[in-house]
Amino acid sequence: MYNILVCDDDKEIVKAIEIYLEKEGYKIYKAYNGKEALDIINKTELHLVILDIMMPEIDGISVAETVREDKAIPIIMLSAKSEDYDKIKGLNVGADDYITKPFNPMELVARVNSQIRRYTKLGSINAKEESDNIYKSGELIIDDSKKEVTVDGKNIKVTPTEYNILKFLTKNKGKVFSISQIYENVWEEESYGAENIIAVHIRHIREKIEINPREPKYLKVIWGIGYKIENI
Amino acid sequence: MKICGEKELLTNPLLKIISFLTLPIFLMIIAIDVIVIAYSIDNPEVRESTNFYDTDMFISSYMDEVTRISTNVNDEIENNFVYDEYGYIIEEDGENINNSTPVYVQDGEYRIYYQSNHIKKKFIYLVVDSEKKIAYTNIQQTEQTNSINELKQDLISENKYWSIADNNIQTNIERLSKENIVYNQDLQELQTFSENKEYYTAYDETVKNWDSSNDIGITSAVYYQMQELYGFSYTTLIVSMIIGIIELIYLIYSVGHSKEKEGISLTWIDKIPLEILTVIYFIMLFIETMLMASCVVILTVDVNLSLMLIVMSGYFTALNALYIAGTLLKRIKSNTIIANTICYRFLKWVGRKLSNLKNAIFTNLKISRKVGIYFAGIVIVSALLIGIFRDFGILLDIVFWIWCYYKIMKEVNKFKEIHDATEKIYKGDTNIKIDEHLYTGLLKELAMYINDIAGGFTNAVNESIKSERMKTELITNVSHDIKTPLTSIINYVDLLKQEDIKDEKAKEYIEVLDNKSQRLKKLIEDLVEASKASSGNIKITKEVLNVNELLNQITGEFEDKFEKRGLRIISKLPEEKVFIKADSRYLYRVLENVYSNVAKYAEENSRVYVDCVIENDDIAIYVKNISKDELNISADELMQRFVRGDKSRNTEGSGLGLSIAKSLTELQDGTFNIHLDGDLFKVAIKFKKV
Repeated sequence: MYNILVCDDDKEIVKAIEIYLEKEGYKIYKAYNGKEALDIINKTELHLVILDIMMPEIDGISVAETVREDKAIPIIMLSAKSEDYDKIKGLNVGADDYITKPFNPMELVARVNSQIRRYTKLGSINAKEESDNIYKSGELIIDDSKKEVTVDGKNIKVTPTEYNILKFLTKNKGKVFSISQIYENVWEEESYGAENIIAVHIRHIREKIEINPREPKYLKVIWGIGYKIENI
Repeated sequence: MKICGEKELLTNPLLKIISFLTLPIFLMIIAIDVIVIAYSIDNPEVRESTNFYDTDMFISSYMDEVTRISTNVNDEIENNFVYDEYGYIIEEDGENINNSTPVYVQDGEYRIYYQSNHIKKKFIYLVVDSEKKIAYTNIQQTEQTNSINELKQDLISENKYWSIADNNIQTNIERLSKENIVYNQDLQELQTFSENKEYYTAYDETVKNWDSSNDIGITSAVYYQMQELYGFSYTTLIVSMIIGIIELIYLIYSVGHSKEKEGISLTWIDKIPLEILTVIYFIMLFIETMLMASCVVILTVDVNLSLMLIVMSGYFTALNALYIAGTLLKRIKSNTIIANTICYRFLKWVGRKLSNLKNAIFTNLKISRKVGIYFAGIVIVSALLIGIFRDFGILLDIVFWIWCYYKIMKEVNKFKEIHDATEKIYKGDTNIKIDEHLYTGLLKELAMYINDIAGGFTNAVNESIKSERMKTELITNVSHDIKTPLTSIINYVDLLKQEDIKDEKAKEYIEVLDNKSQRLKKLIEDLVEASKASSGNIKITKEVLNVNELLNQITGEFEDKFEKRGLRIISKLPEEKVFIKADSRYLYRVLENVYSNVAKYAEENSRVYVDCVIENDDIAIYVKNISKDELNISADELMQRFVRGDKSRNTEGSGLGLSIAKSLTELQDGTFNIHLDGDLFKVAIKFKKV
């Protein structure tokens, strides 16, 4: 049983999040302003904090800063502010993720699960160090000996083609490859008009490994240049 | 009276052409008839007598010939000239001018000169001078006719002959016998020359050769022709006049009317100024007259050809005159006869110039008075200087003028300074300020006004930037406030969906709520983005991008969405890789919006064309599809915020997509255009080639 603090000045939103997360088997602590949140954080052993930014008295940013002074619990920021500037600011003060309102409940649950898994299974995942047969970036792990892909500890089913593309990109994580480069490296032959097929495969991979394929964490698209696996 | 189909009648081109071409013919028939009738009245013999040889016309022309011959021969004998058959002198004082052999035959003590050895003549003669022993004749020389007696016999054998010798007249022409006194006058004249001379003449009408040396032939031709024409001249005159008048009236009414246009239609010929037209017409008339005159000259060579040519040139002259009359008529009808003259235009131009001058002087009396005084001052001072200092005054004048020129140029330069400052303001540098204290009078006022305008302009620009920014901020803030309640709506609708609801209606309502709340979410996101994009409130980071790669990536992204609606992408990319400079993320947003637009609004199971073309220095991306709904809207309206091609607003989308795409493209220094052609929807995105 993991403990999660949900803090938002809108009671209905807190209630809705509670319903979703309780279904997943989490214990929920509720707070409606920054002060209450800090009280609970100090008194309770928590595994995750969900924080709204715009709150009366103490805002979410200040709460996050205070938490980060002595605690390493994951923080997910939840805000109506969707500007890049706001996201960067939130992540800079120590938040682990940033979700914009109005959010997709499924996405919220997925992100919470991901953060919890990462936080609680930190040791065991880290044990799986990169070796000849294992390629990883963040929580994306490819075990080449088992031909297995896991994200946040969850097994992902991919087709052999998708697997080959993913393996190639993860092996060379951080580097950008154009469609024809990917084709030539994976198929080891020259590409003739196969461009669209690669683009379609990449999209399918993204839909499988990303929580929100439109805002990918691992498989990034650099439009007009190519694709890469982010080095996390 | 309104004639049925009056307009059709007046604008029938065939009828007009026929009338135009035939009217001169009738006019000529009328003219000929009038001449024939007038001639017949003047010469009653044409109507009465049937035998040409009984007429005065024959008698007088015959006697004319005789007189002419006697004069000629007399002349020859007096001067010892010898003429050829055409009347040219070939021998003078017995000396051969043309170096030809003498053309006489010796008959006893007589010399017979044959003046026409070539052609058989209609009017033949023999003149014998018994004193000088010379005979002249134009009878053709043959083996049989080598003596004077033989020649005489030859002459008398002709059916019409007349001779006089020793005042004894012999003739078989009744009216030329001695008893008749008609020709007494001629005869007396003849007798004064005819001392010691005998004249033998004859007229042979059977000779067909045209003889220009006598008038009898022409007279007889005219006589018979007139007689022939006179028979039906009254009938043709009346018929021609009726038809001619009808055609004339018709042409007068119909000229200028055409099927294509109401009112009078003018051709380029009708637009030629009247003076030029007049000159052109007189030149043409001159040419036509010359032509006719030359046709008359041919009369002596070939009557029929000449008459034909005269008729033809007469026809064209009449046609030409008729055409000119037509254009004059059109000018009168369209009221341009006076306006379309050089004189009128010139007078109008002068009038305009005069009124300009008047305006220049009187619209701003204060300034014109001032300039006038300065000008008068310069003239008076110059005159005074010369008056006082005489020759030395000219030198002083030059110095004075140079000084005046310097003063004027100083003012002009000040004006130029203000002009230059204004030009800078016009080009966008609104911070320019003109120093008003440098100027006086009107220039000072001008500088002040321009400063005021520039200041107002700067304020307006700043205000508009500020208001645009405020608008964006407002929209962003409002959107935050909307998003919080919207979050609850979306979440609780989702929770409701997860409840076990049996009521089908309730399920349906929840579905509606779900769709609408999702659409509201999208609308708010787009609204914020549109406002930022149009106000330029976005940071663009440009990098070099490969267009081929970009289009392949996007096609891959949209493959599923397109397939769902049966859309097939046909893309044509350049062989080589093409690069542009743009912000990768925002360029994707542009194309994403265009592709989603296609995915939503293209006709199902149709083809979508994506072309990338190199156009000089530009890279152009064209996306073309067939719209499923009728596009009853302009491309501009389509790109305006909140407008969509189809009228139905209850489908997904905010209607901001194309507006955002256009703003974002322009922020990256590209161009974004939409072309609608029927149901064809075409987007053109252009960037500079790298």
